[in-house]
Amino acid sequence: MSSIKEQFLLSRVRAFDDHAAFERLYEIHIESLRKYLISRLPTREEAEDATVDTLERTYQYIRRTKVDNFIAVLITVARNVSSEYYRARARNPVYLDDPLTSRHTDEGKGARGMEAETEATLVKEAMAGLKEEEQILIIMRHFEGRSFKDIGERIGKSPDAARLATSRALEQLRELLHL
Amino acid sequence: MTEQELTQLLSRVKDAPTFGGDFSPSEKKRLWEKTAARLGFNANEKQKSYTLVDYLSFLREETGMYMHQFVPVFSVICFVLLGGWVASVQAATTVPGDVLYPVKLATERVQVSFASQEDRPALHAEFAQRRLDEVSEIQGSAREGKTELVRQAVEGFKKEIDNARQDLVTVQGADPKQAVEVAVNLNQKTDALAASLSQTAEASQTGVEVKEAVVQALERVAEASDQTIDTLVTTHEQQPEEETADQLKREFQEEVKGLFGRAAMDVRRAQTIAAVVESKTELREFQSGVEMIRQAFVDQDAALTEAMNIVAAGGYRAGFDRLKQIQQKLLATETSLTTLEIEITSLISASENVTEVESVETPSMQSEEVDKPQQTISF
Repeated sequence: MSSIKEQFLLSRVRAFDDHAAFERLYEIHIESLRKYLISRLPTREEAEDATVDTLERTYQYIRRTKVDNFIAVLITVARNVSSEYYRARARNPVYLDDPLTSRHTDEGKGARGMEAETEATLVKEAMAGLKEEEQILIIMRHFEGRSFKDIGERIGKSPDAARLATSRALEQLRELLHL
Repeated sequence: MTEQELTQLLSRVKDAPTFGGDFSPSEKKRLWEKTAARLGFNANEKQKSYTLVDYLSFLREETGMYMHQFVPVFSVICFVLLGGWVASVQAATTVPGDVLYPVKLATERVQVSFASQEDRPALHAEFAQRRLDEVSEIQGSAREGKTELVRQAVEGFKKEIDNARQDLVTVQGADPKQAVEVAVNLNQKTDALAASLSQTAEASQTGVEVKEAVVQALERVAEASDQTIDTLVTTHEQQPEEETADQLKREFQEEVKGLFGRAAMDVRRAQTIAAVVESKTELREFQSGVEMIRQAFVDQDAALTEAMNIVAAGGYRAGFDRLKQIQQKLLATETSLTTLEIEITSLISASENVTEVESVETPSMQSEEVDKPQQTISF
């Protein structure tokens, strides 16, 4: 269930096509959405396009439908958008360079910077093997530093249930990283 | 890798560009502009400040789905409340026998149920006064069956007095100190009620049945008054305090003052009787009765002085007990006075009738009798 503030903004969008209200929703959730899509898609450009697609579809949806949990809708739409991306890519394969060698160049950061990017890429690949909800939980808890109470409200669970689910997601990630 | 090490790893990579950690404000703005362009918005539209009307509109929309259920329920509640209020206002001036009189009594019961324990005795006393007002209203009206209506009102008065006494007992059990204040307040009200009830009894044009009910009501008031005094004395005996002592002294002085006033009137009546008895030889037989009454006043005067001395020494219970005995004796004396007045008046009237008959036979004596001063006892 979204907070009362979000419910108000959603109500404004639905009743008055209030662009400013949607902009406020964007400011609240864009970081989570962007991180989610970047973690799921190969490139930043593709993640950016997917972000805009997600926002557009979400806006069209909340204009017509009363929504109780905005972040849940946003992530569901983002998941569909990213799934469509991979289906399209399966039909028209694009051979990307090896991410560990060509995509993440030094860019003047030195060996330390390259090591960090390599770690990030490994984590990203491991996260791609998680379920969507598990990815969201790790992003919200470990990337955005949200409390379990906040996470619970966003995914419609109690704080304890959110804590347990996040712990399981972390355990799953650890297995995928072969650590 | 432990969970802690994994957490540290995630903490290290979270701000990496791979996870979108380099999301600057300008990047955020640029992405919004791109989204706004796709949606056909003006990306540079000024942020809107929402007003109270906007929030109220939101609330109305949110509660709108329940409104169709709420409106009839709300309407019924409003109707009942408004109707009840109108009925209670209309009922305020009703008397026994009126259609809305039960509403008046029900409103009073509700008031009592909402009042605190220490306020209830005074509230009952106030309602008792209302019953007396109802008696006056009934007597001044052209209602049918006034006797029964007055009797009902007087019964209601007695009930209220009983309730006041009962609540005083409850307060005394719960908080003796609080009971002092309540007792003083109730005692003042019972004094006022006694005066009001006496006037009602005098003005009563109804039958013997009602008069008896009024007498019973007066007795209840007297009992209530006694109970308030007993409450004060008991509390003082349990927890002697200067404040309670002062209060008891004031109450005692008030009662003594009332007794003196009553006795002064009785003495004047007795003096009139004595003067009449002295002036007529045929009334000499009443001299012993007059003497007994005179002695009774002397005894009561002495008893009153003794009671005052007892109270001055701090013997409040004994002092009030003496006052009660004096009151009873005074009542007996008043009864004797009344009996004497009736007997003497009857004798004088009979004597005058005989004189009148003789004057018809001998007109010369009639003028002599007319010139004689009237010697009847005025009540």
